[in-house]
Amino acid sequence: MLFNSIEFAIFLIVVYAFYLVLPFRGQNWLLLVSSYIFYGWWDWRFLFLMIFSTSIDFWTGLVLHRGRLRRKEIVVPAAFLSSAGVLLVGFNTSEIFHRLMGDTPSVPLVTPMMPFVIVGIPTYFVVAAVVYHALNSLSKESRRRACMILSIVAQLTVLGFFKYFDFFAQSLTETLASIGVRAPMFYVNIVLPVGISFYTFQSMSYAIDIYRRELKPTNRFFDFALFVSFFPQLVAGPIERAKNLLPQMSLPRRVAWDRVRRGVFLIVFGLFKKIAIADGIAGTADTAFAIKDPSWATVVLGTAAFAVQIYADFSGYSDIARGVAKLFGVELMHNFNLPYFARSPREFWQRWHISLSTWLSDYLYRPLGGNRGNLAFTCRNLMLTMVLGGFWHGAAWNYLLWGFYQGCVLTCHRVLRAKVGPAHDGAVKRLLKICAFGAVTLYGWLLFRARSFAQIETYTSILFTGRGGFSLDAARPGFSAAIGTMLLATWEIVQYRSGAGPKFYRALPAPLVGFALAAMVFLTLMGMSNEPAQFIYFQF
Amino acid sequence: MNQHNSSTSSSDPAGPSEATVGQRGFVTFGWSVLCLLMLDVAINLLFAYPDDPKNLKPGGPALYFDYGRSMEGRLRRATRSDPSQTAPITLAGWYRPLTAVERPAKPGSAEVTIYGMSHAVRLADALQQVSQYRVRSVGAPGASTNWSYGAFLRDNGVGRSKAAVLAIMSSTLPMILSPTPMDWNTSFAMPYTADRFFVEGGKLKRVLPPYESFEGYVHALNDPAAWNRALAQFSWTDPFYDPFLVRQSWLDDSTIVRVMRRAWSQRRDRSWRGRVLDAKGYDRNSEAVKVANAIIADFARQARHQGVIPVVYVVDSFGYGDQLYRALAGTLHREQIPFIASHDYVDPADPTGYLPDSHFTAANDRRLAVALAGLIDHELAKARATPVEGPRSGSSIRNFK
Repeated sequence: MLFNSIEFAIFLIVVYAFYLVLPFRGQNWLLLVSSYIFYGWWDWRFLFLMIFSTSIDFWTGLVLHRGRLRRKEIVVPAAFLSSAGVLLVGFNTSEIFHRLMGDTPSVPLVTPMMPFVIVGIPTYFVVAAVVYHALNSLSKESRRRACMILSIVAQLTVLGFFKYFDFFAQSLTETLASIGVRAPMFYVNIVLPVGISFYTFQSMSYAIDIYRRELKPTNRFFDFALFVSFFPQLVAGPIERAKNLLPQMSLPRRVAWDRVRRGVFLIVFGLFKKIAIADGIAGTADTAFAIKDPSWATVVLGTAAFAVQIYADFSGYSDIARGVAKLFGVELMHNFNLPYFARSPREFWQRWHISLSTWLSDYLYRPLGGNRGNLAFTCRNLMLTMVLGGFWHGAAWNYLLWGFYQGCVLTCHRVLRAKVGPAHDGAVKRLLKICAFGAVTLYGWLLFRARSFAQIETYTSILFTGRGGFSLDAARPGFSAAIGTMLLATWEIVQYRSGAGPKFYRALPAPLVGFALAAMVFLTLMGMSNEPAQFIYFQF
Repeated sequence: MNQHNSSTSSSDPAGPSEATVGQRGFVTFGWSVLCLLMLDVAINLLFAYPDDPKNLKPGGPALYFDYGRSMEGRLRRATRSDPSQTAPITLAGWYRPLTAVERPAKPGSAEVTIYGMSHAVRLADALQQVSQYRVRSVGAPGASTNWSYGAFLRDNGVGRSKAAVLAIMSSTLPMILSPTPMDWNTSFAMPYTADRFFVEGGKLKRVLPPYESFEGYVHALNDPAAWNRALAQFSWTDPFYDPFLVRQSWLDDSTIVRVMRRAWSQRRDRSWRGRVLDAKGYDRNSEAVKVANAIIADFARQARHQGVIPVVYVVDSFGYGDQLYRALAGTLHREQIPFIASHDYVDPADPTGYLPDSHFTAANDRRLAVALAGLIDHELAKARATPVEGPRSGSSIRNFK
């Protein structure tokens, strides 16, 4: 279910109507069921995977913190997991719905997976019981450490299998073939569950924060399940921290008028970015990157179009997610803060996909040692963090290369800063730096968008030799995208110059804000003619 | 790497009261609505679409904001009873009279007739240039294959030709079920009509359109009863017929409604295309695929019955891969119908093979024409070498009015 679909609009209206009349616990149940429906809309089977992941982290969190589990803490997740396994994997859930709607049977109700479910779930419980007793036989500190490792290994195994198995299998087969060893293909064509990278990272932070004694675990399984699955941010973030989101799931929330107002604004703003701009400019980027031997101008236009597309797409998604959450009285992290106004790579990562960059900083860069050593040590940590951050985006070499490129840029900047010292820029110098770093960022987007090394090589060579000149082969951006990009740029320039936060517009005269909003709504309606594309970050 | 903590925005605890916030919100909302209305009126005034049907250059913005006007509204504005006063587009594509473009004769040359949309006409131009054949073309703007086959069935001149080429295109495959582009082509208002084909019991059934000539159309448009009858026929024969898109009303006067209607029509068209055929596959059980297969089989039988070599020209639109060929391959091979499929010559994933208006580049049209000429040469040589078969079973079409 896409945020920019009619189905989601109806879904949100229905859920919100019930939400407003229910008491707190009822609201939580409603949000949990809605979140599961929202996620199951893509594929019901993967819902089981999320529930499985939820149960592991719920148990490890509690065992990590206090060792022994109470009966209710064992029975409730176990029963829920078993029911979910049987219903979502053992049965054809879609077929059940079809039959309830009176359709003629098309496939059997029971899937071939049912025997595996019947055997697999009890086996899992037996293994879990053995591990539980083993963990409780350890000393407190060993148990805590073992629990954290167990949680990380379990989460990364699931993520690694679904996201990276085929990639590594294919790469291995190709490498062996290149040295003359013919290996059988063990490529299994795994479907990537939507949002797995996001909820896995969110779930992992829970166990790590408990281990660090920054958070106490919850003993309410369904509160934790809601924290993992809360639908506004489930499939593409922001990647929330348990210490921010979990208390909001466990304590009554207030739907304040100010939040609703801001939430509605964010939804309108996000839809404008996604529908009017991102979808309207997608064709330009797509055609530019589909050409085998494009001109220089096509490469530049295509890369710039992709830079606009990915920003409008992802920040639009984040705005809608935050806006929807606010309607329910939930505050999510800021994920973007005028990233294309960054003057340095360090600043860029403080402004772009903030929830991921802070996650990587907190759970990877700092544990690696951060900047607590000499310059070479810091640069090594930066490089490792960015390469893994690039790989987080997807199982492809170009993401790895993009991460490596970002690591190099950050490292160079770190070295330069160490030599030159912190800069104090005037307005002109600031503008020049924004433009110069913008060009560096753009080249990064070329690496990110490319589909092969050969394409990266060709496009880079065209970029630096000027081959093909100014002839343009890419499709022109849509009307809504062209005007929308100008409106968004104006909006952000005003915000940047005001020096205020994202609510800067509240200080502007009401007619001016009214006009800007009307223009956004109008452009969004115009953009609805564009081919709606899935949010780019759903694939990660 | 930054090391700042995750931040959350929260409402200012010392901020204004709920009532003040609510009031401000309503004021902003009020201004937004007012500005939207002003935008609606301002665009109507600044980018008004000219009333003169002969004005073919209304300007980009005027054209853009008029796309969502109802089809009936656009046709009434474009149509005049006098053919010299009406918009040229309203004169295109009629079955009666069926207009063929006759290209100059070449000494001792054989004739080939091509039926289809603008891609087919461009191919005809290229074939005339690169081959020894004299090429006729019978086309209509954006013609779907049901129109083309209807034109073939009505074409008295086909008997002179050695070969008849029927074009079929992936992006308009679903529209093979539509008896008029008025119902599906919301970008251009075109009133011409086409036969509607159904497959029943393995046989092709044809429903003739309510009118087949410009005069018939003008008469129907100006006679409310006749127009309602025509629309009623479209509504039961055409899955694309949608009164919200077709019928004229006061809503046409609002820019916002027009923009929304445009979005609705685009969404509907994408949904149709996605359901029938896209770059990933096709639905072999869809009515469009069944009708397309039945039409090309019947076309081949009819052409052979008249002693003409049938050729199918499969046009793979940009971004569609070779799925149309796959959807038709069974019939093409079973019926031994000669064909050329554009994906063999032009990569449907490479935009440089196409012009911005979706046609093939001139160079690619020439490549396709050379391939077509070679195919016709081969088929003619084969026909000369083997004794002429007696007519196989002719068309199985049943006509319904």
